[in-house]
Amino acid sequence: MKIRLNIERDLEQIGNVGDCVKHLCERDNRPGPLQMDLMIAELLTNIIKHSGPDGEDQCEFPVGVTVIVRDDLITLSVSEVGRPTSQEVVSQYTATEITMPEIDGNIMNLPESGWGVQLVKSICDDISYERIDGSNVFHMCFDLNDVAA
Amino acid sequence: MKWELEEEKHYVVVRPLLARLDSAVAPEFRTFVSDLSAEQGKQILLDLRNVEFMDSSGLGAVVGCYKLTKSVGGLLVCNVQQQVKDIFRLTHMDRIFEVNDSFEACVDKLAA
Repeated sequence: MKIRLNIERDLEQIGNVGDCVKHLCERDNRPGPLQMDLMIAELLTNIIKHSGPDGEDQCEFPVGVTVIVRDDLITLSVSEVGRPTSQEVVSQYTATEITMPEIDGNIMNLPESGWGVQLVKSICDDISYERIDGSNVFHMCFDLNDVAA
Repeated sequence: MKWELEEEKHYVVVRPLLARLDSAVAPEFRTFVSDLSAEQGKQILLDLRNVEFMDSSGLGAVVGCYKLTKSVGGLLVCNVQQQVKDIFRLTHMDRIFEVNDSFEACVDKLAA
């Protein structure tokens, strides 16, 4: 099955996408993908906060989310019209190593951010980026067999 | 109402009433706890019984609150649901926070 959603660039919309994916899986009697919800939230938060079209009102352009559930695999694609995602950011997503912000023992130095991209990588089984017709598109695969892990 | 308070003699219980503590509400939550900490100067017990989902923004707010309240005894966290436990584990914050399953266990610690 396949669904496509267009959401406004509004952080309050993100929960609706997670709910939609959850319901889609439950309808198919699959385990509720809590980690999938986290992955969706992290990626959409980064897109809504940090990207958007040059010189345009960001709210004018929705973010497209396509979810395909086939066998035990969910493929999630997120597309947004905007300036190209920088190579530095793309590399953060596609690098194989997962590097969480460091904890040095001093409580006052504890990180309060910087986990988002690393969480996306730690949850999905594969992630890729492409630039299509003025849009940034991230594709992520998630194996439902990993839900119980 | 997004969160409720229970004021005790030596601590304050903060209980979010939302199912999601995420980027949409995290800044507001952090400000709320910051103001509360400055006003009350008491230890805070964060009761997450209603929170089914937390993202890294929500976690950042909790860490920020922990740092803000450290001088008055810090922040205890209880009634943590599985997804929230997972994000603490994935980010290694389970090494920092004492996460208790039981509200009563936390209250006993605060009373000790």
